[in-house]
Amino acid sequence: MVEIINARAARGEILPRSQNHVYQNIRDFLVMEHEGAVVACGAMHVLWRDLGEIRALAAAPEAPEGCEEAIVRALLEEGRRLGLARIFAFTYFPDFYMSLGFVQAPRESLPRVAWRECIDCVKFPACDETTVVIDL
Amino acid sequence: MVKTERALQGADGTLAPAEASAVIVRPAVVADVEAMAELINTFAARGEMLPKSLNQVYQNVRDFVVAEQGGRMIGCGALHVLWGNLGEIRSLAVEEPSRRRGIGSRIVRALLSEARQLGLPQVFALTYKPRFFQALGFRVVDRELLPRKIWVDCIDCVRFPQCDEVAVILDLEVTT
Repeated sequence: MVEIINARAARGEILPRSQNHVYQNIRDFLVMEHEGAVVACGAMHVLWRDLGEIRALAAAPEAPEGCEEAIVRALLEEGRRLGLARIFAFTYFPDFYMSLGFVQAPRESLPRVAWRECIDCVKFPACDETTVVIDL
Repeated sequence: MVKTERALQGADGTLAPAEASAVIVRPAVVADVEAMAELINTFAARGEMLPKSLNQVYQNVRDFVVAEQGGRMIGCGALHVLWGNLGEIRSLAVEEPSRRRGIGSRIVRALLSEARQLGLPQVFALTYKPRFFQALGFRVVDRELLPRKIWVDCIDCVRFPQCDEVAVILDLEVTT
């Protein structure tokens, strides 16, 4: 997972993640297996009673078409199981999320807990990602 | 095929809460968080475990299982993954009137079953009740022998460095 995530991060498309981060948050993650190997992953982190965030969505070059979509759908299902009302993502690919039912929202419309990770981000405060949200 | 890393429900979680008397142990959901934090912090106030903020419990909600009876939460516990070879049992709490009924043991066994599913070879706990854990197969170890990794959390503890908890550890047979 760390390799797949950081390969995508090296292209500037998502944030890099340390092994420590992935281990400590391993329960946030789903993986896609293809021919016995992990080829894609994604995480849904719970931030508060009503709010979760999709993070670290990445696929290896050999991953089958549509795998990221399948992972996001499974993460939304996980959000429903946990009883979350809303899930958001910060992304450079809003069209991808909008095709799955997310809508664009002003970053400021999210509660402050959403910013918890942002202040440690190398891009803070000049974030240029788009905020997308979906109500479950 | 998308594989979820979490499929605990089969063993303990999907039992219907039909009988009011039956205690079920199931993965926590966000609606459990306030009650869990309250239970944990009641014992924390007496110095029996570490306090947890709502934020900590929400952000780690998937670490938790709850014991429930007649729709009411009577206990909880968490398994936190620290590294590929090590997990920690945290925040194990059973309300006073439900003690001595084996509920804590059921919670720990559910957490150990998750640890096996996650592929963790070792699980430890820092506790004031080493005998409880010993009865479940854990052995007491010198705290200093635990990997340094665990101290990342310890240094933020209000009791650091005057910790008087006992370290217990269990080796698991990893099947995955």
